[in-house]
Amino acid sequence: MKNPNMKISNRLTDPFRYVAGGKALAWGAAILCVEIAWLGFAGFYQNTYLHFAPVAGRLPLVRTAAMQLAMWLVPALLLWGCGALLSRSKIRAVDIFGTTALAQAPLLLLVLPLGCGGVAGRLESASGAAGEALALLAFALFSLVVLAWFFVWNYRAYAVSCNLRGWRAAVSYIAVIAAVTAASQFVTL
Amino acid sequence: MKQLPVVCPSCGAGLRIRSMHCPACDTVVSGDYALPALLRLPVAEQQFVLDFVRSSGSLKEMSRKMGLSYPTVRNKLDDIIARLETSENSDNHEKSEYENLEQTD
Repeated sequence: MKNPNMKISNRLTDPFRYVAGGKALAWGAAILCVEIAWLGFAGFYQNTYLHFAPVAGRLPLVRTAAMQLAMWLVPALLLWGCGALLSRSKIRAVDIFGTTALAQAPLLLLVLPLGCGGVAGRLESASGAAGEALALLAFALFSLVVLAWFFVWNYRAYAVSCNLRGWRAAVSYIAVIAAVTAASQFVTL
Repeated sequence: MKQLPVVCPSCGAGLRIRSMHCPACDTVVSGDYALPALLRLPVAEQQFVLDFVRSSGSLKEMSRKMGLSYPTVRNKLDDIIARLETSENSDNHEKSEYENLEQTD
């Protein structure tokens, strides 16, 4: 009964067709742990999807963990609520929390470079040197691509877990992300 | 698997059964019968229903056999349920229209 034509590209664009529930939650939790540990090691904090900032001194790991968990749990809770309101299917909490946790995986590609090769220093002080500016521009473009990948996964996590599609899925998803992003502007450490 | 045509290739309306034939004794039964709702599903969805019954109605078992996630399989089942409901609603609508016509005659 298994489909032999499952392409790797399908798994990269829509992994939640194949992985959800407890397995996705376990993988997602592992990814979150790596992100928290790495941000703590690199001395950075992140309060929105694309806002990383270096912290003076070392931030307690508990606070880094709280920020990362909030960035996953708050949208997941809101998406779960939207799913419960809009979907005709019986949705499972473990699916929405598991798939949205695993959807954080692309963000690792943004977090990991922060601890290596002086990227932290370059981001901290964007001096006028042309080479430095080019490197920053390349990193910004790379960040946009990774962020787009993350949003595709995050949206698919919501759509698959709640069996939503079309304008209902798109509008509710955009509303949740916009609300969370706006609210996160007021969160400071 | 040979697919049973369920819509008219000319106008797109739903097809009905006019006659059935016994290959053993050559008897032909004529009448006007609606296709059962399950037969009006696409072949892939009919296969899904068969596999679902064979899995004792377990979505977890289905997801394991199909190599798909649980919500993906559940969504497929929900889509089939929605399709069957639409099909039944249109049947009921046709039936009530037919009854109304008979009463006016």
